[in-house]
Amino acid sequence: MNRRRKKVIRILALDLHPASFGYAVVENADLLDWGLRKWVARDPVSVKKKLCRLIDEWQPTYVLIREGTLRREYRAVQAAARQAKVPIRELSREAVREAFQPGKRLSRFDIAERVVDRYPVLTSRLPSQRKLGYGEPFQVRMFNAISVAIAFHRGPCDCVQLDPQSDGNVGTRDFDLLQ
Amino acid sequence: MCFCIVVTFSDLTAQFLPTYLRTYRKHTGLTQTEVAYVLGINRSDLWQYETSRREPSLRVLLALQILYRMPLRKLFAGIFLQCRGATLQRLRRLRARLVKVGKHKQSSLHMQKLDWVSMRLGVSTPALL
Repeated sequence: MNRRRKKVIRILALDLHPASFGYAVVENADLLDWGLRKWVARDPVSVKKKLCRLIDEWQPTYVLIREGTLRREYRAVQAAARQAKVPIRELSREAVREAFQPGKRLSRFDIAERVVDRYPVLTSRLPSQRKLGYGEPFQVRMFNAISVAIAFHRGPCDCVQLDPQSDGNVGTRDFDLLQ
Repeated sequence: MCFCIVVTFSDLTAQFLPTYLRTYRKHTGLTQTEVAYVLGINRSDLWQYETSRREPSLRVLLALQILYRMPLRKLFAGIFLQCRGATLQRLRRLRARLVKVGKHKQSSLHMQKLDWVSMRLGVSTPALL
């Protein structure tokens, strides 16, 4: 029997903020887990502990983050990924937007709505649109993380592979891993 | 850049998580407390099952199957593949033993066993004489 099996690629996508982060675990195109975590601001130990727990539980193939992550949080992710020997990948904001609607500038909320179209199970978590003068809803972070994972799975994109041992500046481009 | 990936059985087993209980629960929208109540167990027990710290009992397994309407091989994909690999390997060894013994002693019961084991493995029954 000659049955070809597709390689399972599990991604832990993160949207990092100084006091919290949104995460999503995606296996090929299936959404396995999603959520939000708070951490003590400027406490690298609490950050690392929460990330390590997620990595241990989901054993991802890659940890995926969006470009432009704050330096302190980035270092925490790097440390956790290095400990678990999981490579980190970075995806640009443009690549995420392009993955959802090429040629049109979408807001985070528009992207969150498209994420819900794809995964209706998240409908109840969709935040109401932000009003002028109000802060960004907490849940948007989770949708940001899911959108990064979807963009990564959509195929060729300007994804940069980072060695967890390196400083995070130099990487090799990886285009066709999912094909 | 071109990747050539050779996937072996052990790789495949390692690729899947031991359990996908959390995923199925989250897709229902139920909390751990609610699912634990339906299963008739403590919330901490469910947490241990979801994080692969412990394996559930037969009754809990059946309750999980009824609750999520999913076969156990999907709920526990990693453990299932591991178990299937080990079982088939032992079955192959048993077949080899049956073939070896059959060369000296043949009976209808022996041939019946060999036929069934060969059929289960998807191979033809060897001619012993």
